[in-house]
Amino acid sequence: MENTVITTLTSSQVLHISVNTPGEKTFIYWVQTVSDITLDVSFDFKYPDTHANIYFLIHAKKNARVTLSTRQNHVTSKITSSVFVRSVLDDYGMLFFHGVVFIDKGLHDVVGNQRSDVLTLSSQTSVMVKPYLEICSHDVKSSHATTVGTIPNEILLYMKSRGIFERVAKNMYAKGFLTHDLPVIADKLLSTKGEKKECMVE
Amino acid sequence: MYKTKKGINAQVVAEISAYKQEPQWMRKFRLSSFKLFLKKRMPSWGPSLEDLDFNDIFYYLKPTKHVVGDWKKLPKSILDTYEKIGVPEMEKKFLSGVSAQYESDVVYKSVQKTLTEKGVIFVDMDTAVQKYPDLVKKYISSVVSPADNKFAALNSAVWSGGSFIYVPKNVHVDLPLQAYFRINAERLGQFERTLIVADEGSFLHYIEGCTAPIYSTRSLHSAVVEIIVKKGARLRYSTVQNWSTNVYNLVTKRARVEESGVMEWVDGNLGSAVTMKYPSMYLVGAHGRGEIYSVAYAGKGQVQDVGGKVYHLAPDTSSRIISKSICEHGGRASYRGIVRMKKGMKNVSSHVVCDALLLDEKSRSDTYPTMDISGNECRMEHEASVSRVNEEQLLYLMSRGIPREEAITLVINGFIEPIVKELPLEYAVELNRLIGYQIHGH
Repeated sequence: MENTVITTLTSSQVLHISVNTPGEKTFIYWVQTVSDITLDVSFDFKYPDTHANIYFLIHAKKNARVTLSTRQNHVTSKITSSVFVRSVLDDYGMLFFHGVVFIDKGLHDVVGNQRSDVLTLSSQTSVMVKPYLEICSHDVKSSHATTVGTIPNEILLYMKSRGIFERVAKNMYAKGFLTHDLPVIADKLLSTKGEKKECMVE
Repeated sequence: MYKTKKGINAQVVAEISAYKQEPQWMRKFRLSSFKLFLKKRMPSWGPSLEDLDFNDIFYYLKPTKHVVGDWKKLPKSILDTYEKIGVPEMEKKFLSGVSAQYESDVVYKSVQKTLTEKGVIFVDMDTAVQKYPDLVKKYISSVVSPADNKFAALNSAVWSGGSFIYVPKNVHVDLPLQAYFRINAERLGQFERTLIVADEGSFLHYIEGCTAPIYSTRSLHSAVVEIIVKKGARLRYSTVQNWSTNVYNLVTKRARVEESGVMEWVDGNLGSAVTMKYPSMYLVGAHGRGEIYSVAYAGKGQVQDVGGKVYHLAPDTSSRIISKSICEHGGRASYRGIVRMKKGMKNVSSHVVCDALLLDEKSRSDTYPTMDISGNECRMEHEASVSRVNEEQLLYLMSRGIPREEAITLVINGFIEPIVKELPLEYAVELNRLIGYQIHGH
């Protein structure tokens, strides 16, 4: 996991990340909260041949309201960046996500993506997603995608039929949802944050 | 020809109402809307409307004395305009009825006798206010309130022309009804108001087309369209807008969809200096469905700010928005949309796709979607992409002997195909031809 930066965010913050060296980069932000938190994170990509994957893994419970603003600023050619926001909302959890991909004039070979996936575990949750693209060059690619959904009943039924309690099944699913392509990170988060107390698996 | 003074004030609003010999309730409606227009602010978002001077526009221009039902009875200059566009010919071939609005008023209206016998009402709005006041009173501003936005308030104050359609229960209108809007005069505002009620179990396809000649001064087209889709009814509203590039096209279109109703907006935006248009749907009945298909072309100096809004206010409702845009020569196209799902609504789903093609380095494309979802028994999918014409596809086509220019047109036609296929064949061919014309100039 070279070039991977893992940050646990526990309070509101404004972060300005300037990516000044080329190569593969992975940024992982882990947010688990039961209270309101506001995060404003912007990335400036200034060096060509940079490939950045940025993950925000969010678990909001009780009355927590997570407000996340991200901005990918592309001011140089030959850059690929992707922001993945994965959120699990439980109880009265709320997510406000506003993501912007900006690609400046005259650039080429730039790819800017953002994807937000929300898993809702309670009927009292709320989600507002505003994924904006502002594209001023034509030799580039940009995309965003959003999904909001809950755990399919047939999957829960299958897990329960294998003797797993519903709550545990839900948490297992939620953990997989957040970290399915980041197994090492999942383990690291568990071990660094005090085994099962900090993870969602009961 | 009758024309109000340039600019707008309460006297002009009252004068329009008096000239049309409207009942007191409509006069009051206009004047109260005008007060709202003065109070409302210009949109703080979206394209610049700085060049729009409300006092440099004529708000009402009546081109002919009466609405006629025979093309030959129109003045030659007006008839020539419509013949050049081919409206009389299209009417013969595949339309149930036609309404043609020239400047501020409808000048021609016809509807097939069989539809009238079934109880279908298809008249211009001015006639509807006089002949069907109860129906108009019941439904007007029930979907688009004058307080909705500044331009809805303006339209409510100075509206003229537009269509009123009522389709009775279980009546299926097989061939489309068409309205044709033309702004021929300089510095003119066209403010038609369209109200369509599709009663239970009925079906209607309504098509509108818009054009104007080019002037160096600005014109304003600010329409309001209100649609009520009752239980089990289906309504398709198709627009191909090819205004000249001096026209501000700022339109408010909303539909209320009741139980098991289906509403489809199909929207082609080619012309205008600035278009701001976001067809909306309120899905208020269970099992209601809404679809918005829109395609926009933004060329030199044009801003196409288009999209769609869907409010899921009942359970088991679903919606789909597909938006495609093409920009070149410094044009700017934006998708702006909202999908809102109310708390406690079960089994609600929505799928949104917005794709943009940028054809050169001077152009710009933006997407501004908002998804506001409460509860956990709904499903929302959204995807968007911005890219250039795929060089591999071009290379493949060119290797088959197709010239590059034609290959680009083919790729673009493929790109907008999901929207175009929703139009009747004649319009689909026309839209493809128009986009080809815009891109290559021939």
